[in-house]
Amino acid sequence: MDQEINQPIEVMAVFEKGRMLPVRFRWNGRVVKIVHVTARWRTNEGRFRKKHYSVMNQNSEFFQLTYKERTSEWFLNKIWVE
Amino acid sequence: MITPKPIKHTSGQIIKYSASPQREPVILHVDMDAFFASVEQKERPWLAGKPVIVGGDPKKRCGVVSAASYAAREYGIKAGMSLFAARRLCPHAVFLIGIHGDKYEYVSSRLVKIFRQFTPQVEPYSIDEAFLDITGCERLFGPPAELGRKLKEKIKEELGLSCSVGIAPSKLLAKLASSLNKPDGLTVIPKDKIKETLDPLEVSELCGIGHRTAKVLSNLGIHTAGELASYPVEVLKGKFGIVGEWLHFMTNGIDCSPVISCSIPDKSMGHSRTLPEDIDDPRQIASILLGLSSMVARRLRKGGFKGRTVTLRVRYSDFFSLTRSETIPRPTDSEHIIFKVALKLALGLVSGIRKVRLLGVSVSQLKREEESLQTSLLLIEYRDKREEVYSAMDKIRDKFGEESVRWGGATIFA
Repeated sequence: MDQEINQPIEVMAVFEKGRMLPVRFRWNGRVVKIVHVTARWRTNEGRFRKKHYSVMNQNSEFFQLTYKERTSEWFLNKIWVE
Repeated sequence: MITPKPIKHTSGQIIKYSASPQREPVILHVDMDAFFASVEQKERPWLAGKPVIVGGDPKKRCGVVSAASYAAREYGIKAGMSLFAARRLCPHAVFLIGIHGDKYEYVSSRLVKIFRQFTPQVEPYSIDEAFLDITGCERLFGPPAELGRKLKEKIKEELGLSCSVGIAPSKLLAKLASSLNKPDGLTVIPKDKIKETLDPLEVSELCGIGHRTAKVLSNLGIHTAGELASYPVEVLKGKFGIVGEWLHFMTNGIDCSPVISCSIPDKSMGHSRTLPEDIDDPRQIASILLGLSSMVARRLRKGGFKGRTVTLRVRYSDFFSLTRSETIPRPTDSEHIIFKVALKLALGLVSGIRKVRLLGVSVSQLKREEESLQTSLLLIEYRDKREEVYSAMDKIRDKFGEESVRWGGATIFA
């Protein structure tokens, strides 16, 4: 099931073919390398966009990230726990 | 055979039937398979093939199933069932609580972009269904069945989702066709097979015939589409009014309603708001539209723009969205003119049957104010008399904030 986290994180992202994709992030002192972006979508926050990414690492752990354009911040929204 | 008369679509458009169409229409209906559940399974690949149930509200203790994967449906789980009942039927199912409407709507908008790669005539029917008019597309994509196959492949390739496609000479039949072989189906009903396909169907399987209508028909001794098709139309009209005539046309495979495509304007200024709760009160809706129109108008004036096309966006409680537009003769930055058009468009979309959760108003076909004035000297004579009022209100808002002044009856958004 999903577990809400909602914490700010540091993210390294790549910009290619007009898209921004996260490749790595740091959370609670741990660096997570992203191997698969399983979903991405956008929502609006007033005039600004929020970009959402569902990602997995090499251990098949699942994370949902959000980038807020308004404040240029990244957040870890939720993780999947068995 | 009775010739159908022109009817008024809910959008206000008058749909006329052509006495002699130049080409037989070919309509395609796409219906995504277990859409919400499939989107979630695509996002969480380890759930592929498993019973997955989407629904409920994290803030409430109970809820209902909004969508169930096909694996979950094998246990008898259906949309509308309580989560409690669903858990009893399939305790090992994965329950994803909460409806992530923004995510589903985004995927839906990507679907529409894919559809438009095949034809510009695309009518979204719900968040996971659409009609495509593919008449005349053979030269580009081959026979209709081949186009249907290519469309399914494209959706699978770009979004990783499966759908069922129906192809027939009308929207009604195409929608019926897509339902016949779900999931991942492709069904074609050619013109010479319409009666053969329709006649044996139970009336309750036909689009638009709900439980109550089916019961009334059953009391008349009508159980199948074939029986309904041969029933005297005057008796049906006497029983159901104009709907009776529609029932006659439908079961005889007559449906000339065109695919109504809605295009989104490219450059525009607009505002939209998700409402704190779903509503269907026309007065509340009007108040919100006035507030949104005021915000759009203020932005236009601030930017020195005027626009001619007003677009209304409505998202319903089931996350299905519709947009409708109207172009007015003269460019405007007047909130009252924008509001008047938006309200008129809303009358066609807000019927009280489905509640509304989001409203948006935007203006496009923008021109700089000086350009719009130059188009005709007559515009100077016909300026909205409220312009001095708007200017005064803008100055007050610049100094004291957006909420410092508003029109009576308008809903203000922070």
